[in-house]
Amino acid sequence: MTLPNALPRPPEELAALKAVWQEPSGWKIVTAVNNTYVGLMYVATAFVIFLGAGVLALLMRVQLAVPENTLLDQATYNQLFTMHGTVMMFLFAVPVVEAIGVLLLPNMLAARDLPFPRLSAYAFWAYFVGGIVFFCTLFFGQAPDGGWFMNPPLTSYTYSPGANADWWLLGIGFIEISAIAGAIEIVVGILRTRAPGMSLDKLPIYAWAMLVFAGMIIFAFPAVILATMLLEVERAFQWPFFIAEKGGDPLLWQHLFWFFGHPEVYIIFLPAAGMVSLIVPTMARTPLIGYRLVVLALVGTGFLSFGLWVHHMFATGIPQLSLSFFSAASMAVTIPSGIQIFAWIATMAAGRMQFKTPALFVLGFLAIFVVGGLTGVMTAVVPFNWQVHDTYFIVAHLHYVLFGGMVFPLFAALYYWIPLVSRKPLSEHLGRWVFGLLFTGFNIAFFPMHITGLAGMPRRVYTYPADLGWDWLNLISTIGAFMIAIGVLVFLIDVARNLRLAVEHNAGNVFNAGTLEWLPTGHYSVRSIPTVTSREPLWDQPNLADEVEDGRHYLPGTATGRRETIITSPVDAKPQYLLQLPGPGWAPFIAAVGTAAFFLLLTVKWIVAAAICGGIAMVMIFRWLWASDPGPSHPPVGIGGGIKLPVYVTGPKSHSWWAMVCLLLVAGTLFASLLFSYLYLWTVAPEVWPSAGDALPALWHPLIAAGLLLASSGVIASASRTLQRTVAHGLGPHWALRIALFVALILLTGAFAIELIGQWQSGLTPTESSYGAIVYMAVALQGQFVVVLVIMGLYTVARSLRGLLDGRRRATFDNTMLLWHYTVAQGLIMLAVLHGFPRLAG
Amino acid sequence: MGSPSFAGTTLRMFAPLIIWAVHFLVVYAFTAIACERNFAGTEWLGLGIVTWTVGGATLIAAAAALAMIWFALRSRPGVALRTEIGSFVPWMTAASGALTLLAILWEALPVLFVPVCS
Repeated sequence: MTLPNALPRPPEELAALKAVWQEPSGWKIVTAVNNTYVGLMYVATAFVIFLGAGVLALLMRVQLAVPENTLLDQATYNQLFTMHGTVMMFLFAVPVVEAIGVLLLPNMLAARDLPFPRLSAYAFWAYFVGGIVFFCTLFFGQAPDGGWFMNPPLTSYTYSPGANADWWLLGIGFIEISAIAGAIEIVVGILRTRAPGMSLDKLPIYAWAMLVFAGMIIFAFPAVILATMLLEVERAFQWPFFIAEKGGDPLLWQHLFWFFGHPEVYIIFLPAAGMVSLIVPTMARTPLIGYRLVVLALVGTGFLSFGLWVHHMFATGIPQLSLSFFSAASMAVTIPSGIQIFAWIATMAAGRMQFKTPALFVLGFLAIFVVGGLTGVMTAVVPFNWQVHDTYFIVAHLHYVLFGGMVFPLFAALYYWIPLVSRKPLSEHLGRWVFGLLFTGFNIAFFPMHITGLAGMPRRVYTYPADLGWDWLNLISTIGAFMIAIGVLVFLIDVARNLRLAVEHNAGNVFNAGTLEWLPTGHYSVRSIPTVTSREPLWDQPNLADEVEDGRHYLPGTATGRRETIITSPVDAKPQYLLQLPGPGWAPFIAAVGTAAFFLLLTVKWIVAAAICGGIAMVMIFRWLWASDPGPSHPPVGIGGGIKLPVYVTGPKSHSWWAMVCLLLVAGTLFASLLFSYLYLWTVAPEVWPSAGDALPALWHPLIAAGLLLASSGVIASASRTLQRTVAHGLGPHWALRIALFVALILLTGAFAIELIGQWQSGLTPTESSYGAIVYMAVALQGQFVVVLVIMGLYTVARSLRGLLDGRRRATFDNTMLLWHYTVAQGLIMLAVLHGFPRLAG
Repeated sequence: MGSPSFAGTTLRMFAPLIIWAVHFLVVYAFTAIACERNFAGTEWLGLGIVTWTVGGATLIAAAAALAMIWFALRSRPGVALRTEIGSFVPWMTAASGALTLLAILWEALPVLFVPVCS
């Protein structure tokens, strides 16, 4: 096969490539945006947080080791179990799988970096600062104490008047932002930065898993974002979403939380399954059996997992037939999980397994996860679920699923991929000890909990009387917990002895794997970007590593003198354009610190300081955005093989368009969750709804508001056509565009104001009933979008005034336009529901 | 030759799973509202309104999934997308259709045995 670029390569080519990808050193490391650096810091931080949450678990196990123990009081214990669950789920499990994705995906896809490196850095630093401060609330007795799922009314203002619950509600805010930012990065990265030829049917299974994972974050997290907004507003302003005597319903929280919470289990599990799907073929030295079935299983799990949330609510009095739907769906989801397990077993049977440390952890994962899956089927059976509800049986089940399904694959992944970033691999000898201690310790700790639960021990009790038959079971569990801790300690010793960070001179492909992340790499990822013709390119093209390293494939240097990666089409991975990537900078770091500080200071009611930090974050974000729409500043460049690519595109081909569409999906899901809440509150308390249009604003209010919304969208569409005719710094209707943006802003804010005034003049107040609360929340949500559009509109005008916006350089305008049309559509639906539904249903 | 549309390709591969989601939403929401608003006892030809609705929605959803499987199996590899990813897309449509069919029928089965609102 003729390769795209011939030898010899110009001698200065590699030096130039290295120079543009040079990362800062010393304390300036905080300005690094390269995926390898950010990914490594991300993984390390998540692991340290895992250790911290593990210490909390040990404290709880010491407390429960003997009956009537007085080591911890009840209040402290409540904080410990709440923080253990919250930190493990929000600050460890999701971030660590996202972190590994940031670290591995570009190399696995043979991209130079993910498409939004500053977004990755921002997501990491927001998580780093916010996560550490959130964890430290424990040391001041301020940690949340309502359980990791924070059910009201326990967590509302009556029973939790302190700031503890606020730390959870606002503190989790930055984690949600960080997770969504990471998910958008991963979706666009996987779909648009793959190596040429890596069509969807050749995508590594891990990338499929991460694609489903990121998609699930986009559709699951908005529900919990809305839930936290509602509960925080209820706590701060007494809007009664969850107060039964005012027409609210605490079960609304559970619906919203578990609509996120159950998919969350698969959000954690699927990336781990993706890792296993790469590790097993390497260890068995044969391709994965049933690739297509495994892809189906990943996507199928992603869908079906959204139909399981009520199985966390079987004991709440939901109609029996409804419970049966969820019970059946809970069993149906075992089909895709089973497909994956059989595919792994078949692959092991078809090949010649090498029982190295990663393989041991995979086998441990299989054994533990299957047990967790089987107890999952048991708890999907409604009558059995009622018996074990809120007992230690559930604690055992969830740990078998989560620790078995995620932590064991994580350790397998660490032993498997550390040679990519270290001069030498971790020790096989110590690795076997780590596996033995973790596997034995885990089963000693958690298997007895099944029996403890069946014997009636409830969750979340800080102590228990002697002679209930729980004493020795708890003691055994505590011994097991310390064996796990010793296992982790041995792992840390292994890391200290063997991990020597090195990107360029790493240990290399020590397991003889077949996927692209094992190509020789530098800070720039691969020297040249290969054409992919199979799922295991390194097995099928034996000379590929040398060819890539010699620069014989695409883009062997820097074509524009800057950091770049090739953007390919999403289905068949054909090169479309060259994306120029940003280098190190302070903006993402300062913006992230400002964002985390905004949420954290808001929690302690330091409003002015929070506003200042939020302002700083926004300024920094605009600073980095200012340079991110460079326009067609460079002529098309050759990447080899006769292919010339443009350096800038706009419209639906552009990566920024894709990111904005992902963001709109997040916004749409948030709004759908709000509509669900509105209709749910109507079903439980119709008596607080206005009957037959009484007490609703006069119809002319929504009609005029709708007209203004439509007019604003029309003006923006017209402005888009106007922009097409403009030329930068040249003659053209620039002023017409600017005036159009101002007019559209006035129409949009006018529509919002008319709706708000209409509701207020009708005598409706948000504190009187759940109806008033949810109506004003809908208006407030629309108001948030209007505020964002005011800022984006003014920013777009500013770019026009500076000559940075014209018919060809229009990505900024396109993003504003997309959000604009979305906001108008959302506003129209909101008006139809708020004014139409009570009239129809009344 | 242009690249195939991502939205079109993805929708084609996983449309059956969207049918599953819509079916699940319809049967769950209808049952919940019927019980909450006390009209679940309404009967026609000896069957309750919930049974009629769940049964009807299930038949429609199952028929749609079957149709997708049928068309996917009939499409010739490589023709539909005009790219080298060949038979991947129709295979995925048929397989996700089969999973959807199984999930829909299994989830609707309780309507034959389980009391609606108790």
